[in-house]
Amino acid sequence: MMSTERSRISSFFTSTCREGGRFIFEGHIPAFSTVLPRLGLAALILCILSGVILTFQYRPFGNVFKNLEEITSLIPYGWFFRQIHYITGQAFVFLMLLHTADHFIRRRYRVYAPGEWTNLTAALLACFFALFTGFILKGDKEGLFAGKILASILDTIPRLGKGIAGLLVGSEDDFFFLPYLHHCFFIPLLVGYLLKDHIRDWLPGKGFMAAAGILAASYALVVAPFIDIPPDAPAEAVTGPWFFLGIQSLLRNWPVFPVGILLPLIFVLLVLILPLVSSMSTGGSRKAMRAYYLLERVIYWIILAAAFSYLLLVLSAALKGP
Amino acid sequence: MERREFFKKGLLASIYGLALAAVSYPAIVFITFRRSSKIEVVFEPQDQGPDIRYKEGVYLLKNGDELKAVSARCTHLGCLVNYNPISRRFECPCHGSVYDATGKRIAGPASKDLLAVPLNRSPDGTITVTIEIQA
Ligand code: HEM
Ligand code: FES
Repeated sequence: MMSTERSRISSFFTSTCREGGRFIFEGHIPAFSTVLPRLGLAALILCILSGVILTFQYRPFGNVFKNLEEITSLIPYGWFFRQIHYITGQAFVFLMLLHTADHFIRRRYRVYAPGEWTNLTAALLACFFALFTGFILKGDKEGLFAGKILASILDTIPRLGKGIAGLLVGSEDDFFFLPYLHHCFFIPLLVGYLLKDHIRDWLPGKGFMAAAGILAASYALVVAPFIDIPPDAPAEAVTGPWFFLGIQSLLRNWPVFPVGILLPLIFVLLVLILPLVSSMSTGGSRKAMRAYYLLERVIYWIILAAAFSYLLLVLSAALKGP
Repeated sequence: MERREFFKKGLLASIYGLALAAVSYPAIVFITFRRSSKIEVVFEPQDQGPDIRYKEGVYLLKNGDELKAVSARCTHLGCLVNYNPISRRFECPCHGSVYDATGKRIAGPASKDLLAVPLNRSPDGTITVTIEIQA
């Protein structure tokens, strides 16, 4: 009697756990996996629309800071489109990052051919470059310094540095023109090209568009715009865009080339070779297969550990100041 | 047969490679060409003072009768440094490099002193500082 009771309870317990697990892993995570990218796509569409609207008043020459002050405080609804553009741009890249992490952690890179995987990685990097150039385009002290720091970091690449840096920012008078060209023209084209086979349907559906629109508009209406620092005003500490905070804090104590170029490059290369190593672990002799399988696992954990440590570095820099 | 195929492919690849190089070389040279230019910063007599003055990326330092101009560009990664009149030091807001009142590096990740730039004093008292910028 007692024992059947107990076994009934335990079987109820195990079946509840099983069902719960199934709900979380088969019901929940796929929902998470399909909702995130569609919401991100809706954010991208709103971001491009608001960006196009901004270009009609934005001028990348002359006193860019004054121009943006006018957009924010003089030109009707300028603050609204700036806020919409800012939050949808951040949301898009953040959701894309989550989407990538979601697939990466489940080791979905195995289903991609190395070429396609390279395109996806490049697209994600291009999106961060869009955030970075957008940050420069603000034309305030932070934007100006971020542009100068980026150019100086690239300068440290032997032989090619000067040339590459010159492709990204201009000198004094036309400082903002190249970031502007990249931000509004080259990067969106490049991202669209790189993702052309990945995104099956570029229109995320009315529900997602409405949700993204309502969220973005609420943000714009409720949250006050950031107060930008004029380029000439002294500022005790100047910080870069959020994803750069970790590198910024490392640059206080470490030499520029290893921190600004070498480590990020190694990280990206590890990400790129992963599907290649993984595909090698499915053919050849047993011994070779085992070795490649082990190598894949090692690279996978190095990437996760590096990404997680960088996240902690960004969080600590954001909380304590870089 | 195998070998002929191989040579044919190799030849074709070299022709493509050469054509690509012939097209991209001028493009790369064109895109990366940089003019070097000079900017003049003029300190009128009313812009000058007994202490340290700042204008358009240049600090004018006066030490008794000695006059010196330094670029405000931090030698680490190019942010503009602030002058702190209390500590009498130049401090960089980006990664914390510190220079003394003559522009000499004291602390932080920068390895060089602030760059001294040539200045020109004309009879009417204006001081012109020329800074070279490589784009
Ligand atoms: C790839 C997608 C894009 C992303 C992630 C993005 C992101 C950003 C970000 C984060 C800013 C800085 C806003 C701030 O801090 O105030 C910005 C500024 C700007 N963006 Fe975009 N943007 C994208 C596409 C575009 C496009 C397609 C255009 C125009 C055709 C555009 C035009 C502008 C302009 C004019 C600014 C400067 C105005 C301002 O700072 O508010 N953007 N962008
Ligand atoms: S740019 Fe001045 S300390 Fe880095």
